[in-house]
Amino acid sequence: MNIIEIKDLSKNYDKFSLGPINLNIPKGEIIGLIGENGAGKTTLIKLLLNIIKPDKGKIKLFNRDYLEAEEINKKDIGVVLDDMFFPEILTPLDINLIMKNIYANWDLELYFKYLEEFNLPKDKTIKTFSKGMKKKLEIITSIAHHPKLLILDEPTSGLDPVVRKEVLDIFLNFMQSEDHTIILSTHITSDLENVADRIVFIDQGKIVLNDLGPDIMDSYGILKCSIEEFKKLDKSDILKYQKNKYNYEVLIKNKNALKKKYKGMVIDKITLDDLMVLMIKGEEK
Amino acid sequence: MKGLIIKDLLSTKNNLTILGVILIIDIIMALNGDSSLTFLPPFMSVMMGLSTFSYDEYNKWDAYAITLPKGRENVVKAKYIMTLLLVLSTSLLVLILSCLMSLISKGNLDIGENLDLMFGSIIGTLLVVALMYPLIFKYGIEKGRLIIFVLVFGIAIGGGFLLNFFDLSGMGTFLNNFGNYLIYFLIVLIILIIGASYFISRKIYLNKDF
Repeated sequence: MNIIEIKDLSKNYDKFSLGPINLNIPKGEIIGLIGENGAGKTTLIKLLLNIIKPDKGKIKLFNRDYLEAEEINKKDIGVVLDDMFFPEILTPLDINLIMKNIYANWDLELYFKYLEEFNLPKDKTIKTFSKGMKKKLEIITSIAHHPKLLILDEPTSGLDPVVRKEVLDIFLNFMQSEDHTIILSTHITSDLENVADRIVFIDQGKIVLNDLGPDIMDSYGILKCSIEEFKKLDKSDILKYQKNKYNYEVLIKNKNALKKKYKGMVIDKITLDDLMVLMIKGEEK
Repeated sequence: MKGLIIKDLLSTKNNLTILGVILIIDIIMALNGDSSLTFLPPFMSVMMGLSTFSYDEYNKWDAYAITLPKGRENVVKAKYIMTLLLVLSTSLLVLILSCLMSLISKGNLDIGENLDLMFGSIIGTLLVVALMYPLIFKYGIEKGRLIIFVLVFGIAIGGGFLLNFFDLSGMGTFLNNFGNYLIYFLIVLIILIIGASYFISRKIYLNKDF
């Protein structure tokens, strides 16, 4: 079953347009939404949550129209947005008092258990928290009502590697239940390499890649070659390329087949960072 | 919605000390037979209500609130209820304390006059709320405040102009016709105005992008 179905979705601003977006997200996956800053990740997330209105298109969440079933859907959604949260004069204790009056299934025990685990003071105002502490509080708040779908916009940005690992562990723990789904947007793609089941890559408001994470890592590669070797490559094998000072870096697909075809040339494993940079900045032959 | 009302009330906690000081000053003045500051508690309540908009805007709370069940509808409802609660409860508190003080000081204070002033302050304050909130929901607290400032000035100048050129004594006669019912008339009127204001704000907020 698809937990999210997006059809012909678009939103236009003066200097930026998103879409048309067509995307289906199956239940039980961690979806990594990647793309550079300003590519449209946050716009897409805001559209999903009805924070902004689309100009065109349809969205279904949990197989229901996202507006008609908004109230019931949102009981099952947990959200972390980039820099949007409770007023900073409130404390984690205040948040507990507020949220238990909003969500019928707000789990006090889970909330306080995580607060303790992450050493977050209960009675200090949020404005006294460091960025990492604040982010952890946002994440704890997003899961304490046992949502089925987590929508996270840049949940790891600005965090040091230790905290990032802790935060990713919370998400992996959340995914223990097979009907849970996470959509996680980030430009720190290394976070996703080990956890994302599917990568959706957005560039200039359009989805340019939507594939299973392991398939991307298995299939894509970077062929490194000299200018002479580059000239011998079939045009159809070159997705994008970048000319460096001493060599060419070529983004290729079907890595294993091309390893046989271009014997003697180096084909490296790809990282999501490489993929992103080459797809955005690379040239086409 | 209860959760969002609690959130707004908790957001005003920093201002409670100021409100407390004003209440004390108010009561001391009332003890001396001076009820000229009776308008302050309801007025302060509105200022506290407005401060919650500022906190919300600074922390981009609205976008987050929309992700909660019935978020868009409840944000607006909570703001109006929170403001009404603050205005009415502070006014009631002042009134009760004034009565107590009047008893202690053996009738130095005219409760009837105090009640009239309090009623007038509540009506005036709620009128300002009814005018301001839709503008704040539409334009945000900073721009909304500026617009209301211009509007109030406009109304004051326009009102002065009208008074100079038109004979409004008929209005007084018209109001006098209500006699003892004037108070009920004003209560119904302010409820209608606040209701209309709420529905306008709701419509604005339901369609707004954040």
